[in-house]
Amino acid sequence: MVEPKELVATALRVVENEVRSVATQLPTAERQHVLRSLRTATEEIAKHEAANREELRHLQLVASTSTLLLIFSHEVKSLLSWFEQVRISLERIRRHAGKVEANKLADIVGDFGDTKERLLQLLSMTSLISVNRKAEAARLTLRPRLEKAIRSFDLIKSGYDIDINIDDVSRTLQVGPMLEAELYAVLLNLLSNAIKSVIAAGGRKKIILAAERRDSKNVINIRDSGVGLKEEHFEEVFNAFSSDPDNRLYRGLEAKLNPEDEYIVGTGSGLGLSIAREILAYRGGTIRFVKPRDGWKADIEVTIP
Amino acid sequence: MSTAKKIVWIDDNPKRETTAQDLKAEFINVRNGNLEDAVKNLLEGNQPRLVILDHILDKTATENPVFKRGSTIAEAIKEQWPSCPVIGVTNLNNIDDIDQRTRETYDELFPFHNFREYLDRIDSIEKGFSFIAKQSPSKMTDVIKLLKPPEEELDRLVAALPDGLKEPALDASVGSRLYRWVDHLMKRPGFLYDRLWAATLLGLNESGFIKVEEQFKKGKYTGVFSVGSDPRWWSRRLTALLYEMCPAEPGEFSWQTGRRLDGITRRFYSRCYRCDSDSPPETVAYLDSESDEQQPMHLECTVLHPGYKRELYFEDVRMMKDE
Repeated sequence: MVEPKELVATALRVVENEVRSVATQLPTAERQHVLRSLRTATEEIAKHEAANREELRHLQLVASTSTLLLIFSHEVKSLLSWFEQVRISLERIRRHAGKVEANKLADIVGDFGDTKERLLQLLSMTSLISVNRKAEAARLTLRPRLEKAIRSFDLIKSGYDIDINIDDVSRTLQVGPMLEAELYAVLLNLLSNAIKSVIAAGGRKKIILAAERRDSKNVINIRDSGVGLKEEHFEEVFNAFSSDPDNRLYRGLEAKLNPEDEYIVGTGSGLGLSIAREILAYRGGTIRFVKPRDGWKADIEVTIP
Repeated sequence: MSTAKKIVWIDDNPKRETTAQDLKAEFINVRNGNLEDAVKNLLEGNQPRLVILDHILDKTATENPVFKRGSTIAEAIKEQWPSCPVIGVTNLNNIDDIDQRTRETYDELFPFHNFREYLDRIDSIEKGFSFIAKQSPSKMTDVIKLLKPPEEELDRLVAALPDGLKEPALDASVGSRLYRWVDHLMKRPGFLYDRLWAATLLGLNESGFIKVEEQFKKGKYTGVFSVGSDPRWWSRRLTALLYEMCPAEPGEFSWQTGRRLDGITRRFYSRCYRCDSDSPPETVAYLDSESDEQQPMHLECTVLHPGYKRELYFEDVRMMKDE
């Protein structure tokens, strides 16, 4: 019995032995040619296998954090209950306070309410990956999900004065069939990349999303005023662990991003785009960088059935 | 039967005592305590008005597996006092993650993180069960009376009444079954409409309905388990009241007549979410099969929602048609 992790290496050895034994019967020049080709092919396969193994190991690590996420969301919920208790207590105090104090307390109570709403929304998104959830692929209306995904970045959006415009996304456009969690994974990854890029670039930070039905497919474009990407890297960035081939993004972020905000936009595992591509490919879609026009610095085009 | 005039809350999280105080409930903290004794003492006393139980009781000193979940305690309470409402609270991510049978041992199960949003419902549950116990309905008509329906709904209500609410099933546990049915009536539009459905029926958006709401107060559901902060209206009463105020012209539908009500201008008209036209949308539909958001839409802009069956006497649950 061959261990799964040894499967490719064992298969390669078998093929190599077979080819070598057949090659012995060939004339010298041909034999050398065959053996050279064999060496090149086995090296390529081994390299690819090593990269796959590394990616799998990393994805396993990422997947293992989902438990942590659930524990975390449980803790957040306890915190929310406490928020509610404090809010009620403040509300009671407010009723007996003088006018100036009452107004200040009203502001605090309002802030508590807003924060609670934001946390509740994030919690509803973490529940999408709940292990017990019976998820079914379905046609999903894009715009409300997009609005929800954008709201997840509210703090960073207002903190860095980022304008995200979705006026050109029809309210009725539906995508899929796909899982809601898959759609959010794609949207959150793309939005997080665009947000990082506009922060790194500085200046007027604009992101615009457009979506339309074209040739029986939905085409979504995410354009930003960020640091951009050289055309020769348009494909490379979809490889796992390739996050910043131009070396401009993280240099810009280092200079402009408040270290406390790193957790919101992520430090860049280099997996986001490859995961998005995997999800979309599985659902019959595509994702690619296209040459930006009209002064935009980057333009990602997604197609989904 | 003697009834203790109190609400009891059993929990192993002492931080919840503040919320219990808001309900004027007696809080029994069983953190590291003997839960078996606490339940025994409860059952040996008088029937409370309402019992609230933490669903997961894993921080008590009790090793007995029967006492690890509030649902098993709920069973014991219901066996002793079938007319006592029992509510579960949980910190779990998603109430739907708890299996249906377990959920149904409680009359209601609420997530604790937004528990305060349910205080009005809890109040209506407590009052509703107490009222039903006092009335002790023994006939089907007694049950219907508890809903205070308008005359025009009586026949349909009788026809739609589930078997569990007909004689001879009307025992002391009728409160639980009636609560479930009223909950269904409130959630599934048909007899009762929420504000969005009521507005759409009158051809208005929700702001428009709020403007004329006072004129329809006689259509409001005020029967057992009604919740002031989450009102419903009898759908047929709404149209009857509308035509009293504004007699319909030949061939006119309620969504056209409603737009002739005093004070209604174009900005109060309902709009179809899908085609964005203000020709009156006839229904309310979900945005898709996975969405919780509902919007007014033309029937032709919707399809049947695959997650719901059609039910006689109730509206079809629909969702937006794909482009």
